[in-house]
Amino acid sequence: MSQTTTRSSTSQLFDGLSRLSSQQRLLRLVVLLAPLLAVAVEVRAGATVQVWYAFVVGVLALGSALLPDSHIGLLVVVTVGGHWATSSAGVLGYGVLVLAVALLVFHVAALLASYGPPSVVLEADLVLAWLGRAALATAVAAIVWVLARVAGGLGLPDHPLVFGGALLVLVAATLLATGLMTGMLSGSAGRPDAPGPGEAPPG
Amino acid sequence: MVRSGLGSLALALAAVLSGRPDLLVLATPMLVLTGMSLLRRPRVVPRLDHRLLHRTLREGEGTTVRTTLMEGRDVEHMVVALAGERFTAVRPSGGVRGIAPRGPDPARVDLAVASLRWGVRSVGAGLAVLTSSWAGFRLGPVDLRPETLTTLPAPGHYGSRAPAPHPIGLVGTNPARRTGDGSEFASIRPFYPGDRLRRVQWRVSLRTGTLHVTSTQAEEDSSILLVVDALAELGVSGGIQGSASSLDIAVRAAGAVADHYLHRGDRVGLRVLGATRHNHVAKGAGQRQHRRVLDTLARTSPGSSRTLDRRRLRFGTDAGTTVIVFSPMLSEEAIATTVTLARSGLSVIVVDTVPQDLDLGEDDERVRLAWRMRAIERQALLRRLEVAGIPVVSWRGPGTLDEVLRRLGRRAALPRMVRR
Repeated sequence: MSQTTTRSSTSQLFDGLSRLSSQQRLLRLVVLLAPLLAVAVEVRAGATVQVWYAFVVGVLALGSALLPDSHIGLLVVVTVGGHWATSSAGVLGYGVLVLAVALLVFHVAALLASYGPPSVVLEADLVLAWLGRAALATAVAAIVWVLARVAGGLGLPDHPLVFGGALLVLVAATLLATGLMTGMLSGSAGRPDAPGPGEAPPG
Repeated sequence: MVRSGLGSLALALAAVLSGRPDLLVLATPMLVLTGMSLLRRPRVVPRLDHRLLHRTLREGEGTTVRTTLMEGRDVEHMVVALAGERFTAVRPSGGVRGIAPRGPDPARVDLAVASLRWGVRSVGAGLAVLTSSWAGFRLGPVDLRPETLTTLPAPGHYGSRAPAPHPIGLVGTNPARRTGDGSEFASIRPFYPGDRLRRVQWRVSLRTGTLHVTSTQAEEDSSILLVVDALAELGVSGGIQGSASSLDIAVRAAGAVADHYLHRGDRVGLRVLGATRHNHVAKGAGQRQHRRVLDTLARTSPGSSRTLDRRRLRFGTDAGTTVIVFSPMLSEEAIATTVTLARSGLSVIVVDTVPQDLDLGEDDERVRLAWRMRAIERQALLRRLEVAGIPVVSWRGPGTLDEVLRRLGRRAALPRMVRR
């Protein structure tokens, strides 16, 4: 019974892969390569990388590429982030920013790949919107990176409460700024957030 | 949102607890995406309306499966995936289409669906998934309920110049055996009171000295009973563009013949032998009768019925009805029914529906051998029909029945011995 079920789900998986659109193939290739790029960035940044770690990331990336809407992607993010936290010295070099971008690219590609069945083709407008959002998130990460370097230069205390408070203020400011920017963008695209006349108020 | 939310939260927490700003940089992009998706969370539950634009088609024709999104201002992307159905083609291939709704109007996803074979099928089953702005929330997969699509047999190519052998009716186009108003010349005979003056044949009248008139054959409509044998289906159907089974040929041919005679003003009835529940259409004329016949043909399903008892079978045929039996002539019931109809004094024609290029479906020597044995038995059954004086013709479209109908017409004009 279980063998039959396994065979059935495997055949469904391969059946779905055979129907992949070219757009989906590209997205899943990015899902597969982005975590491997992250490992390469870690090596470049001077972190100690074992073979088993690279193998695990590769397997998880392959799993994410095959099943982009599963929770395997969360394991990829946690594994890469956790490994960076334990194996690097916490230096704020360029490598951190590139690693953040690699994880972001992985996340966005997996997200776009999980919008529908394997044969779905996403409209160019949606893909462009996500490219814009990814660029925005990268810009925010770059600002945080610059601020962290400046704060490091000022020699501020690294007590968890101070750090956490700063983080909260930073995130709130980031979200506010991003919300305002995207609100202006979506307003110009004809997607008002406020309810129209005769519609129920939100909540 | 689970991936970005939990991943970024874990990294941010680790950054705070360990005082590592580099981990905060790692977490920031996904924190931004998570925060934005929470800010743009949906505030109304969208609704979907899913339906077929047409419920009745002809073979090879297409319609649209339309999924309309209402209350969808918080929806950034909508994808609809239709389940694959046999004898149904969907465009785009794969039956998947996604759109990004724009503006306040309800968004629509249209998928073109073509029906490739006659019959009644459920079409439009599938799933829909709605994704909110910044992909934070997802609704679905929502089951899309199928709707019933009736596919009528393709408008067949059939025409006949031969008159029906026994036109017995009121007004029609078939030359009758009696004289009356019509256009076919019958004879020149002496004038009787009541004859129209425009019928007077002046040359003969002057030569003979008495008034003579030209008489014509009356034109009457005829009764046609179509009998479709659905007791067995031989061959594999590939739809309108593929190979045809015996039942495909029978249903399409019966539809084409009904179309031809009903357009000429004749009365046509239908009887389906088999497992079909609605298997009888009483004789009638006109466009509505045409639709009734095609609807019943579309509901034909192969198989034998336990309730089929040829001794109790009543066809409701009048004298003069021409019976056309569409059958592969493989079963004893079909042969016996045909012979019974012929013995009751009706003109019966059998249209052989065994495909010329028979596709048995399996490349198995045993299947071929079995079919050869069956074909030998079939020859014996067909000989019984010949003995009973029932003509058998293969279906080949226009003109299939012409020669047979002319022969039956000549036979009907001859004196014959009646069995009493």
